Amino acid sequence: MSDDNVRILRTPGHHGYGVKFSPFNPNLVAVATGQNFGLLGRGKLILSDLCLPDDGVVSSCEWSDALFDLTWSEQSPNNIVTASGDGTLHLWDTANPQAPLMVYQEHLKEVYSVDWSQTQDYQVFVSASWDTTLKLWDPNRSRSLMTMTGHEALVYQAVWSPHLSGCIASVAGDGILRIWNTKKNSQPSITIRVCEGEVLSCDWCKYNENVIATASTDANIYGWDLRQPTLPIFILFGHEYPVRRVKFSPFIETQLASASYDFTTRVWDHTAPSPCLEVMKNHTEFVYGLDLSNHKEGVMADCAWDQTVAIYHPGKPHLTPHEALQ
Amino acid sequence: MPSVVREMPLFASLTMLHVTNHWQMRACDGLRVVLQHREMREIESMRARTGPMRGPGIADLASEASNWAEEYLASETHVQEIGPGGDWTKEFLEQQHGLTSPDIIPDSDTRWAHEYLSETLLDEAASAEASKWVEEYNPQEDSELARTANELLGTVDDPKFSNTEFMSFIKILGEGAKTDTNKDWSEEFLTSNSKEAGSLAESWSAEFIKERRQPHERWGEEFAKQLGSLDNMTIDSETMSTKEKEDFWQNLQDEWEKMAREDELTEHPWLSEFNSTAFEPFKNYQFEEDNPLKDHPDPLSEGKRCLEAGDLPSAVLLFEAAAQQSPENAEAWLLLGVTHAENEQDPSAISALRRCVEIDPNNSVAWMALATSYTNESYQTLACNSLKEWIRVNPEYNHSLPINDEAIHRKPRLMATTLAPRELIQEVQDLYIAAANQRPGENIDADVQCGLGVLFNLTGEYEKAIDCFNASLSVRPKDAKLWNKLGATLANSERSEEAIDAYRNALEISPGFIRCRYNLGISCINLGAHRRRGEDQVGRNLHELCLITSGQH
Repeated sequence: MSDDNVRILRTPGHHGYGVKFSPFNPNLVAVATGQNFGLLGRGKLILSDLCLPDDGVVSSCEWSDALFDLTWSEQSPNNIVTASGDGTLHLWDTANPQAPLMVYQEHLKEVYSVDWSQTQDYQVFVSASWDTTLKLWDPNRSRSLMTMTGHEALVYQAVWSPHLSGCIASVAGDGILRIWNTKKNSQPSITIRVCEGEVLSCDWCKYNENVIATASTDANIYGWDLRQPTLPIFILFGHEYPVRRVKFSPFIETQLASASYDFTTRVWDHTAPSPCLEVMKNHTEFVYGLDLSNHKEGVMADCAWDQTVAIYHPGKPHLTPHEALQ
Repeated sequence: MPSVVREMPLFASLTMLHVTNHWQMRACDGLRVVLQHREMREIESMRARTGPMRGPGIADLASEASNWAEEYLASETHVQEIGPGGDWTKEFLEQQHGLTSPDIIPDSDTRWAHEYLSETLLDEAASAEASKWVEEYNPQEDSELARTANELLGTVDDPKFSNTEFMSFIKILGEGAKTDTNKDWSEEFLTSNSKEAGSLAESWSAEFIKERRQPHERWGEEFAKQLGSLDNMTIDSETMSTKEKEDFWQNLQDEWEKMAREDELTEHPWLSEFNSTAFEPFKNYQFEEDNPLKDHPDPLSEGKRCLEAGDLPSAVLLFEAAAQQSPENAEAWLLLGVTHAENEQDPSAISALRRCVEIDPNNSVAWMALATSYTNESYQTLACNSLKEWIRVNPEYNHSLPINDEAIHRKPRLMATTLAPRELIQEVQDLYIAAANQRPGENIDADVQCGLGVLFNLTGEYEKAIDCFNASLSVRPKDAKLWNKLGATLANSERSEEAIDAYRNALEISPGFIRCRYNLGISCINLGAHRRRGEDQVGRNLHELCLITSGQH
């Protein structure tokens, strides 16, 4: 793949854990990072504007511990929530990056994932932590609304369903995918054993409310239909090492992307006879974060432990900030 | 904050196990925990720190001034279970309250945030200390950290990983020496104390055996035992084959997991449901163990009589007897399957019907029944293929199928999916539409229309399905199963009232039709859940339901 269609942003001294496009502005992308591979030291939330040259950094927010994940607010274009290794979450105003607007401190261990509700009627976010719980938060309140227990190991990711209000999927180191109905109670509604290893990521299909994909340490991506959860509806083979992130395309129903410890990011179509469409090797270390733009079809971003963020459009010959992203 | 003492043995054991590259990241996560502990020990002595805020009880939240939150916390819905499988989203939605979106309360917490902010300034000082720690890190002093870092190093043999920055970082933790890489960041980690570049990777195993004798850690002893038994085998990546390595570590992992699970308080037996994944669903039919009618002289005729009379449970037992007495009798299997379906037992129906078509592949009734049952169980691909087979064995329509169609020979694994590839659905739809057009005007083939109706149910095109079933009923108005199918389609498209009318028609024809009665119940409940007004209608229907039920017994 030529270098022309990949834009690299550097995050020197910091290793990326999560990257997300802004839901409001197609040119803004934010990265959650930590020093020293997130093992020790501080963390930084970096906001970049792709219209600006080089690394395009607009502002950055610092925290005393590594930041493991971020989510954009669906209400206010300048707000981002980050999840940190000291168990706290923070609400930032990117226009005033000196200090967070709110700090949410309840989790007992590292918070590994945070996600803002995807249905407009319900402005809350969920956090998933290594203390095996998920917590539901109203951004205006410093105390959580609900704590969901049920997982028996570190929870790696929690994701809201874009179709059903109040519905969350979460995956954990016990190899289990759980679906929660936050409007009913704090018990899991559906429990599915994905595999023998750990499940590191999950994502909902944007076009079919019954379909979820999971990424696990056995290097496979499983697809599940919640109406018939005893068997996966598809299995994607190809990655050589654990798959760290999976994300369904916002544009094509059967397409998804995945990032893995084998340093590659892949694009798949699970109904195609040869499902792996693209293999992208933009990194030299573990790829940790992945996002697909909601505004521009096919545009992706991933961040890795090589201190870079790559923005690209697989299959398209030329990518310049002004053409592709405006 | 990470919990303090418990993490140490956990981390150590994890690192031991996570030697196959698959688990590298967990080892790193464990490493992270150890580093944090060290940091905490130092920082805690530096300054007083307010403890983390614990989340308050639910009762405390109820007093806050936010009507949304109050409503949310006070809500406890106890909604009846709606039905098996099928539409989980409907179930999901029905379990929810309608809640108003939260008001944006004026932020009374800003003061608190400012207070916190002043704490973060202290945090900065602490973090500066933390980074300095890395520079001053002395592996001789913190031998545990160094050792575990070295262990991790020793397990990595894939050059792809050993050349990464991350591995260099781990090396530094293990050796404390300046590495030879030319990367800029390594300068940060320079220590003033250079360490002898010992033969780390080779000696870690010996060191490990020596050190891991902590009696309070059972796993440690187990591990050492295992290691002792493998004394003669060098744990050298070059000489050991990949398979041997994987086996070796896999055994360890299993040991560890076994021990970890011994302490678990609750086993989750129902989870094993999901573990026993048979990729070929409904493979073998399970006969009733204690069948009182097993030796009936003519179970087939008797069974048919029971079916006519509406006594489904007896019919099932009789047909099972018939199938056990003459296992190659396709009719027995067909009747068994069909009766199970009427009795709301789709999985059993599928097993029996599969047996039937194995014996008699040209049995079109069986194929259509299979398609219906598969659809109910959401096995879309299998349903499509069954519909295709129906066409194939039907002399009037099978000219449109190519002779060497490979569909049936596809791997079972792919067949047992809930989402059929769009091409397959389109193909079968085209076949049926062509078949329907073959018969002009009024001369409708009820089965074709029925098949088409089932197809449209698969794809969720309920309006079209309703048209098809209506067409089918115009030719066969006395077919209770068709009425039931129409009712089910209406119910699935939220037309519960009309569904109930259809069900009542079916039950008039066939009062013992349990599946239909079941569906009727569901529709009544749905009406009740969705309608606030019109309670007369609901009441009337429920009343009728009771009448029908009581009238039977």
